Amino acid sequence: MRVNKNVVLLTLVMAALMVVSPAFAAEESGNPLDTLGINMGFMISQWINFGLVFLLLTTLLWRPLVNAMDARTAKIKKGIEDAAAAANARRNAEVEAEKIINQAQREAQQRVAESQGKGEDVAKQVEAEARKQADKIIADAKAASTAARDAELAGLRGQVTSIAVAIAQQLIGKSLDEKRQKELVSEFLSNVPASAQNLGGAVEVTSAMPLEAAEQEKVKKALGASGVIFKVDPAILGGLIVRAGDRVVDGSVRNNLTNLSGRLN
Amino acid sequence: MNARVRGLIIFAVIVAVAVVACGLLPFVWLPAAGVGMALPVITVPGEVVSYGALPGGVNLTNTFIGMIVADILLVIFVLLAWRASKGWTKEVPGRFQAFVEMLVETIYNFLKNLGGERLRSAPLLWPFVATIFLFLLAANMSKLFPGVESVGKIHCAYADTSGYPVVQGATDNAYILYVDRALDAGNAQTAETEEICNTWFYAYKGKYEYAQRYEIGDRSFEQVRDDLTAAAATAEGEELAFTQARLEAVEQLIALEPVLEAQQAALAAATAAAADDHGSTDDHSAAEEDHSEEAAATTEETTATEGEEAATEGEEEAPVVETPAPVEPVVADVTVLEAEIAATQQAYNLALSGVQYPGATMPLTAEQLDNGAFPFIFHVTPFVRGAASDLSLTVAYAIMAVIAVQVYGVMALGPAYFEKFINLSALGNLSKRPLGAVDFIVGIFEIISEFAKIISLAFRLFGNIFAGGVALIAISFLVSILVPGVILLLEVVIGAVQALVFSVLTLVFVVQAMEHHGSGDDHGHDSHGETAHH
Amino acid sequence: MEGLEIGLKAIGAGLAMLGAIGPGLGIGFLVNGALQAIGRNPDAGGQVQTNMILGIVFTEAVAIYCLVVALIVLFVL
Repeated sequence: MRVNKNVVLLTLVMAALMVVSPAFAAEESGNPLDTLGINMGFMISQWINFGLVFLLLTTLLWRPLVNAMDARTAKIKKGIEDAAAAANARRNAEVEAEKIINQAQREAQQRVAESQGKGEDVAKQVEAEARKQADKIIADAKAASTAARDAELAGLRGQVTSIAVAIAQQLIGKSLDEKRQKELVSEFLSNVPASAQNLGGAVEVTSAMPLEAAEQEKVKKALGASGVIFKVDPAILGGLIVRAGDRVVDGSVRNNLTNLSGRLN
Repeated sequence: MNARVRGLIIFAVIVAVAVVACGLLPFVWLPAAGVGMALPVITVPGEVVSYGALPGGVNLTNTFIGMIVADILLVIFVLLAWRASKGWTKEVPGRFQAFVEMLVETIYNFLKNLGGERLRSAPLLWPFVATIFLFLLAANMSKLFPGVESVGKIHCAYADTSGYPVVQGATDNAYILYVDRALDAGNAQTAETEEICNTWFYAYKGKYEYAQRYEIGDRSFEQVRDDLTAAAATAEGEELAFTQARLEAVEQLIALEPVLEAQQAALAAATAAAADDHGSTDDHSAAEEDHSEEAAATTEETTATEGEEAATEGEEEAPVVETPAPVEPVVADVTVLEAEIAATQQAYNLALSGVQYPGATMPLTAEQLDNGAFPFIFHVTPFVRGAASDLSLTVAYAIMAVIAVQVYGVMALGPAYFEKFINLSALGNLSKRPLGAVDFIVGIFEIISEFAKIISLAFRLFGNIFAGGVALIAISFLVSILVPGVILLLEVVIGAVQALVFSVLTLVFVVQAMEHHGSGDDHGHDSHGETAHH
Repeated sequence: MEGLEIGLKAIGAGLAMLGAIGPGLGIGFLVNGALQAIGRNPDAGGQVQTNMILGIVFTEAVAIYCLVVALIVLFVL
């Protein structure tokens, strides 16, 4: 510690004064206050003593200690501020890092999702194909089996139908004489369905027996067509089949029989 | 049950300790050893330890020494703290440094709470207040150290005070008060006896062969008289005077011895008669006879002691005249006789002491003298007394505080500060505001209150510390062991509180003076209100 | 005569100290109020305590005047 010489000098002078000072009031005896011990000289020495103590404490205790404490407080405050700044920076960094991490995560998720989606698609495709194939196989198999069954059934039904038709043909064929043939044609002609009237253009008319000229004229008239080609097909058994382009009006016995056989089935 | 037994044992131990410490020790054992508790002389001014020791022939008082002790304590404290903290540069405080820092910080924060911002803005205010606190704390605590206010200089008791005989202590110059009775308030000293004591103590004792104790031993008083007469024949000057004084005392002893014996015999007879009287109230005549005999004996004795007290004689005769003597006169006789014996015994003891120490002023028994008691009246002036139990200190500090109040007030408010005392503006505005007269008068009262501050500050501190010392003395005198410890604890608290109160009041007055004032003396409360709202 | 004088002085000093009754009561009331305040609002304890001590000190001043008078009667008169 570097001691101020003036302070030391002052201290010594004051100490000397303090000890001497009671002498200032030495002759003041007889004062009524003396009986209470209030003595000017001692009071002066008390003041000087206080001055000394004040000097001592202020230079060695109050000032330096409070300064030191202030400095320490400032230091601590600065430290706290620094720490706060550091904490702030760290918090920012953390936020940043979190952001980055979030982004990365998002990307990763996206990628995963993508890859998952692709995989799923592929799987779906494969599955769909497999399913399709499987369906196809099943369908084929079903179709084959149905066809087989149908074929079998058709065989059976065909036989039955042929029997029935044969029976019917037997019955009908016997009765389908010429006279009956003529009746069927005239019946058809007298009752031409609306769809076969006024056909125009080229019309093909098939009949079981060749039609007479009068009959041909009648057909032409009934159909309202200009050019008619007359065909003969005994397979239709009786009646007429009118064909105009894509339209067919089937008034044949065979057709009726076929309808019957379909109804029987 | 077990706990109860243990509690019983502990309680018994406590009771035993209390009985020994508060009963046997102070009332039986210590007086038996001659070191019973003495009652010191209580004086308001600091007692003089050394006459003319200070420059200019000023007396050194023990309160002045107390102040120096407090100073030394503070210096040691501060220097230790300075060294422990390396000039308050050490960053990591040790235990002591931490303690000092905590103390200072506590004081500082406390004062700051009280004084607010002004504490730091006003120059040197807080060191001023804190120094007052620390010095007073040191003074009040140093007063409680063992030996302070108890160990001191032994000297002949001053006139009009009382004291005790002394015995030689461990060294030639060390003496101990000889107190062999409990609750003994001591013997009174007069101006003459003080002078005799001083002469003996300072001029003769231990210096001359002839001024030593003259031991009687197994010799009879007549033999002693003959020996002394023989010695007087060869002695000269002071020695002769001493020998003659001893001779006179021996003559007195020889004269008193039969008187005392006769009185004791009479007392024994009277006591026996009284006992008889109490036993059989019918036998009046016997009692009367005894009575007259006693009366005759006492008259004889009183003439022998050359009319020691005429008044007692008269009293004595009164019951003799009354022939139908009831029980009371007998009892009265016994008490009177006892008083008589006590007086004779006193004279006898004085003479006995006078033979051994010519001019003895303290009547001591042969036993006490054999114990080494010196038959003069002494008391102790403590070397150190609490600095704050001297009004010089407290008044000086109070004046200083009030001056500081004025100084800080002027520093804060300028000359306007004195408007507080002499309210010139109120006086000037009297025509507009007649009530301003009240303000003016209040200002005059403020002046008085400044002086009242000095008185109350000074006498509060003095009263508490002085009364604490007196209480400690009084309790120690009554029960010298254990009980004063309680008062001592109380004194620690009071000492600290008074130091705090003095400094806090100084601060409050200063802060109050630094406030702008409107009217009245409610400023203190206002300022407190302000701080309270923070 | 001297004994009488001392006795009268002692009586006078004792009478002077009767004035300590007032401050005694006052300090009692003061502490009563302060303790109630602390009880109601323990957080304000510090402030209340400081002001309580100040109040006690000012009240005590009256007792001190009594002490001064008693001391003067005993030792100065």
